[in-house]
Amino acid sequence: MLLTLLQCAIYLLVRQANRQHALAQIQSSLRTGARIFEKLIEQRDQQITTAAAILSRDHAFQEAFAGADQDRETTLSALASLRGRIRADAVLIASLDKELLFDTRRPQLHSVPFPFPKLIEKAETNDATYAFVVLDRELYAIAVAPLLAPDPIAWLCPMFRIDDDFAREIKVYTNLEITFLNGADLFGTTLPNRRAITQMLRNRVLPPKQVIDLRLVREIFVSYVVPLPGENARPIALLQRSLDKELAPYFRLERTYLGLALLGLAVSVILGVWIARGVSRPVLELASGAREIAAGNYNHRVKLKQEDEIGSLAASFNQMSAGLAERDRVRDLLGKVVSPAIASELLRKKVTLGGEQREVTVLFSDLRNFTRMSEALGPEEMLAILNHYFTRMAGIVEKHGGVVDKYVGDALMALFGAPVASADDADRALRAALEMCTALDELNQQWHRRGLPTVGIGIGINTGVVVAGNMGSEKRLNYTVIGDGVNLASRLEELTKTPDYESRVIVSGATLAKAKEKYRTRRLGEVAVKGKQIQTEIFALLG
Amino acid sequence: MRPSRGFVVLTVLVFAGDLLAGSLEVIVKDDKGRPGSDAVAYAVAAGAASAAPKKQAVVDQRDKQFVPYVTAVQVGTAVIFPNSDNIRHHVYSFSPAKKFELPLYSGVPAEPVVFDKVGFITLGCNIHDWMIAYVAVLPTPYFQVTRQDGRAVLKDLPAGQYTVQVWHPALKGQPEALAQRIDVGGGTKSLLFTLPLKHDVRAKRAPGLTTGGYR
Repeated sequence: MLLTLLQCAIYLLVRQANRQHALAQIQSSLRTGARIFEKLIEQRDQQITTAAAILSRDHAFQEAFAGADQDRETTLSALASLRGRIRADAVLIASLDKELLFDTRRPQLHSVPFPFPKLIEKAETNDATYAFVVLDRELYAIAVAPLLAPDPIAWLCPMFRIDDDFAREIKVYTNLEITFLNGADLFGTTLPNRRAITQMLRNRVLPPKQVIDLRLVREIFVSYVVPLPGENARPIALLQRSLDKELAPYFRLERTYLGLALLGLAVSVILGVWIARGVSRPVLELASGAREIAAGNYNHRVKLKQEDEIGSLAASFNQMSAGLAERDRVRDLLGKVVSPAIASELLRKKVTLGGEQREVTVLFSDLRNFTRMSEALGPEEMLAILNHYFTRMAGIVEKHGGVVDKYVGDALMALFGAPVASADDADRALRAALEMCTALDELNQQWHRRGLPTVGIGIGINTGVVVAGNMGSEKRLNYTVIGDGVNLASRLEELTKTPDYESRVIVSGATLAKAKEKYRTRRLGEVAVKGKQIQTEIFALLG
Repeated sequence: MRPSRGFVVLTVLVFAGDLLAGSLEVIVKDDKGRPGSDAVAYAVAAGAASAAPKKQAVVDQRDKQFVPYVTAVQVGTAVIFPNSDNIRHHVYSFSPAKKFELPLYSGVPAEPVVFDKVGFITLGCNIHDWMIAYVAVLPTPYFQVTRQDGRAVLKDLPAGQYTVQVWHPALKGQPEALAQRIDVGGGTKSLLFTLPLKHDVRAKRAPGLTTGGYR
């Protein structure tokens, strides 16, 4: 846009400068041409005046004109001979008392008043004189010289017609259009359209010796008027140059410049559009890709194969999509391998080795008679049943806000209070244990109907301070809990095998102490936990 | 019509029945092969005395022109210059072979002009610049002016040796330079002349009013 304005400005400035320069040039050349014209006319004046003076002293003619036996025809034919010598268009002879004696144009005409008496009056004071005169609707340059024998006996007047041929000849020297006029009468011109000139000059007075503009039809002429010495008229020479023709090279230059400017503009517009398309299209594609990603469609790929910055951006974008898809997949898998709560805890925090002390309620469950059941089943069926069982149990654990820490054979370890602690972790664990028992009863009924052997369950629950965190090697680690609290829970689970207790769920006193709700329990006594000095009170959970 | 360059003069000897006389045909051409009129072909017999000249020749003035343009006469011939125009003429010659002047006159002059010296005379009119004519004064009675076709025939030449020459108003140099000898007898002979011509600088008759202009 700026470029366009700049170009327009330059164009207009150049145009203005060109035109002013051209106008100045034309006016200057017109004035120069006018000076040449005036000089030429002056030279002609001298030439024909001299010619007239020489002819007037021709003895043979003097004899024919003024000899013993005068006759008009002989004089006229001798006059024609003189006319031929100087190539005049006519020669007149006037008597000393201003009477026309001979006129080579009209041999019969004589003894009438000489048409240019003032010229003779002027000639009487000079040796010879010169003027432009109109005679029979034609313009002539005329010189007057006395015919000497040896005193003046008459006036010899050679005349030269001013016509188109003369104008053309002068044009050769001046390089100007020349028109000879007397008022609106046109006598000779180098211009083709005579009618246009006379119409233009009707009712118009041209100021002499000034540069003026005149319009002829559609062409403007820079013009200059030179008055010519007249006798019975006021003839002028109109010197002109066509403004349009003079400006033609400038117009050509202007057109060329305009063409170049427009071309440049077009090129820059096309280039701009091309570049914009090259930038905006991929950007739009990237934007739509970003929207797809935001909508969760990580499989969307931006299809841009460019070797530039946009291309590498697209490649990065696709890498990012792939990364997001990968992360999503990993998160999904993580949720399956570990419990969702641990998975999100892992994803939320930086995964590092090390742990923290937490109070956790640990739930251990194990199947009774499963070995016997597995003997009756094929390995695939056994795994299917086991997975069915675990899916159900894990669902219950998660429903109560617990986390399945691991599966070990047919055993399950669940945590309540890690990685996320809540006020009723003990209650949650207890309720989960009860529901697990009910769920197993249902499963047993199903299995029984299918002719499968039934199984029993043992659950141990303890609450204690443990160490929770990621454990393992740098490359492979698990979120888990360790500590005496965990071991006690496991021990309690094993105690359910004790027939005297007659309980599927054994809970430590610590857990019941933490529980906020009331449960039906039966005190089983105190047990010495393996490797522990202190006794722990244990209870059977009934409901 | 007048040739502007050189002429080739072809002389053909034609025999009559009489063994003692022959005719010579002269063909004039310029170097571009154009026939040239108004050339004077003449044969001068070697050693023999010339016959007496004819009595009179005429150069007329009609419509402000001399007629004919070229006249050939034997030396000693009287030429009369009648003026057939209704205006006066002033005939003059400044040629060395005959200087004379017939001041402005009408009709037929009382006395003819006798050309008593061999040479080529240019005639002019004092008041009409374009009027011009030539008189070739020759030392022999055997001459002829070529016609439009550039040919001239010299008849009744007695048998013998001749020097044949050609002169033209525009000839560059003297006719002797182109002289050719020929024996006129019973056989047929031919001669060829090439005439170099001068540029024409004579006055032209003034053009009419319709042409020309201020120059």
